[in-house]
Amino acid sequence: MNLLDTGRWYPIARSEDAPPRHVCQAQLFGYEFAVWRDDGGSVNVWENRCPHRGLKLSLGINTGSELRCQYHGWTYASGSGICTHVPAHPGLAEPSKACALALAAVERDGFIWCAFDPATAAPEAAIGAGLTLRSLPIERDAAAVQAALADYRFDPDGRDDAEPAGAALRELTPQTFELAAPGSAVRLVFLLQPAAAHKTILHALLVGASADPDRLRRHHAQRMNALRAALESAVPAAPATEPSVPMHKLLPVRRPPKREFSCRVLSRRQESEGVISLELAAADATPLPALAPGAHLNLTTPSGLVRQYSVVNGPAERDTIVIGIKREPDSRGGSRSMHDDVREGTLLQASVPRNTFPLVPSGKRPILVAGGIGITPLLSMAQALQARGEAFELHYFARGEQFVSFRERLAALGDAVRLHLGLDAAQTTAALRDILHGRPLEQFKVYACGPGPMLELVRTTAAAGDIGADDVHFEYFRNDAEPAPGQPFTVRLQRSAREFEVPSGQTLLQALHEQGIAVEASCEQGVCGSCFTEVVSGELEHHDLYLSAAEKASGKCLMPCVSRARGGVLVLDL
Amino acid sequence: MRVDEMLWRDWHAVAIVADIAAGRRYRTTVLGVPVAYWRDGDGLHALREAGDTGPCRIAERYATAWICLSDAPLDFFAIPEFDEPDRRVVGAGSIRLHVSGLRAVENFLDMGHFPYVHTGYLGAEPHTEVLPYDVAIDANNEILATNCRFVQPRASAIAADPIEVSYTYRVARPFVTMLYKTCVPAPDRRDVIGLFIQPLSEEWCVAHTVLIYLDDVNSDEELRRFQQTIFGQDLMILINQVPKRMPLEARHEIPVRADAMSSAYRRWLRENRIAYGTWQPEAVEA
Repeated sequence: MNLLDTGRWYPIARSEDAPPRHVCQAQLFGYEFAVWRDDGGSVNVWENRCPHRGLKLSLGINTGSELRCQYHGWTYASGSGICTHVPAHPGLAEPSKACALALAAVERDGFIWCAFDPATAAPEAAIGAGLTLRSLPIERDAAAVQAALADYRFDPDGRDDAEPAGAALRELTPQTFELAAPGSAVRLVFLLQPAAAHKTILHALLVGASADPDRLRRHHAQRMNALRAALESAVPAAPATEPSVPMHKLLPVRRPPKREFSCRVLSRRQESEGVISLELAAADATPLPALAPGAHLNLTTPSGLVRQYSVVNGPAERDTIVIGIKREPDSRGGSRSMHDDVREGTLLQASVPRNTFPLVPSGKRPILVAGGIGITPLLSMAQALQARGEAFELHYFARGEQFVSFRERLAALGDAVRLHLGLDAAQTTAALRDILHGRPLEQFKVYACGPGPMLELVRTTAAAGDIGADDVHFEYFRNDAEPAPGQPFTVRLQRSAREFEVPSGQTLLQALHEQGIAVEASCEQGVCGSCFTEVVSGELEHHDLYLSAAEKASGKCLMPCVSRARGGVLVLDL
Repeated sequence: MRVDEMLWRDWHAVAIVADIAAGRRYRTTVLGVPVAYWRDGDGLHALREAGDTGPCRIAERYATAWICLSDAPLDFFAIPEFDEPDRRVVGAGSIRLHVSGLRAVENFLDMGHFPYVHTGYLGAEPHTEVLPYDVAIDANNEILATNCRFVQPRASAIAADPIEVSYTYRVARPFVTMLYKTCVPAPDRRDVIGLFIQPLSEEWCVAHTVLIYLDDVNSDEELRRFQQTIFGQDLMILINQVPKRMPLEARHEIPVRADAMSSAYRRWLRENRIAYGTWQPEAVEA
């Protein structure tokens, strides 16, 4: 049992080690893991290493739906581990390979279990509810600990002066062993966590005992301590070392989780004049991604345009995604298509939610300021704050009663909501001054979303009232929804004698992958150098940060993730 | 293992000279080789320890004591600002770290972590964006990152208000890096911070910091304290990076455009055939 079996469930922590908003560190076969629970109760067991620069993720912040790395603030979604935000580049897509390495994880009988292979079948029999005893690290391998368990004696009622008889150790699974107290219904189940080559964590669960829990815990603590002392008094254990094989090499080859998913419109509602809401459900059995307050989806409209919509969900709504859409009079067709072409049952393509407008943990009281359709991300924040019992206020500016959306959700927020209706520019300025001035502003943080002129007003009013620029947060949508398309061109592969077209709007790397040509790629932002490709001829358009000026001028290489040809024929040495 | 030639011939910082008490013998290691050094009336002296009679030169430059273990030492890199008469030169301490020295250099070259690691000093949310900057290798085979800008709440010991600072980063040697930054009292000149990393071994290093400043307000102690506050915050990150040695291949640690300097540093290490302190899983597995 000392060898790692990637298709087996191992206990990695007790349920109580992962309370809400906490991240704990755990070990299995020398590998370190960050173990955490999202606000919906799901547990995550992730390699304890940020895929960006290797910082331990256990130092990060559990936001309730994501884990945020302490080094550069990158956030990773509960469940998939997909990166949802790179704060250094609010306007760029996150690298698709930036993904926390997640093991399969389940919780049962008061313990968190994990399996390296995501295809591992769910564990069968449960042990049953019981009293969780103290877990004990023992500086010996699991086989030695298992052998010692056969001599363990205990009294079912936890009487220290009793002289209990021995019982046979029964293997329930390769990681769990049961001792039944003779003449009693009490069962003691040991769970072995092989933390490292010479370290085992011994967990124990007492089932069917009725005596005082404190007495039982004390009774077993003494006996388990004695077992540890006997084991460790033998030859000293070898020192701990970092495992030399990277964790991903232990796992079956798998692609990073897909950032795109299909969803179906469950319902469509008219929320107010010019605004509809859509409730979206996953189109297949794949669970929906976790949603952070302030997150937005990229949706492809039926007319083929990509548009961003903030999610309106409260923290408890995990089965569907709710978005609000305003019909923009000067729309280039995105919102018009969503209003005119989408009905119940319509299938839409969406990307994993990004969270570029996060609620920043600061201890300061949030003032949420919404203008018009800008209510959507702030509503999601307000519901999250209410669920956590944190004080906040939500100011909603709208042109009139008939333009107020999401009335039921607003009503549920109670007194925290103030409506400011039908104000002109001067009145809006005055209202913002009332909200933002005359307060000890170092105790507040402002989150604002709305039309550009109103955000500018929030910015200037806050500045005039001594509120620091650091305490005013604005929604920031990526501005590359319409990517610089580039010219179409023809690619000729010299060595494999193939030819294909790259249309405007597609990267050369995407085109190569679509043709089934294996080109390694990592950052997909032209910075890491992984996709370096040699060029025979062509007029090149370089957009990367990796190649030197001389290399770019040579015309002999390019980074196909961001660079392309200016038209004509590009001949590659592939 | 064989230490890369470029490192073997290079000079490695072992102490800030002002921190070396006369007449006392100090023991340390350089590239895994145990050495001793001391200062007396004749200046600095050094020897290898443990009966090793190989070369062990010592020299003073930039307020720092440097050791070279080779008979064919490389020339020193230049810091012209050091010789300007109105400069203050302050040693800001030597801190031992359980991580590859390459990771310590890379952390020094990074702006993206300011709002998260140096919150309220060198950065703060929501000002998290790293704007594009330029990276190039110059004629001396040094890496330069220019046009780096960042909004900082308190950029130095004498900056009271947030300012947009302008940085130039320079990597002169694998373990020698410098930062040139906006100087609050003299906007046309720049303060210089030198970070000289002593590679004790592949997974341990000492970071020696020297400030070459135009500040005439703060005491040495105040400048030192500010720099040590900043470094203390970095330390918590550096000792918690895994693996401790630095991977050079992008598939193991994924960069973004803000990491153009780090990406250039890793490429430059590969092209200069530096393996010491790097993480190479294939070699370990073989």
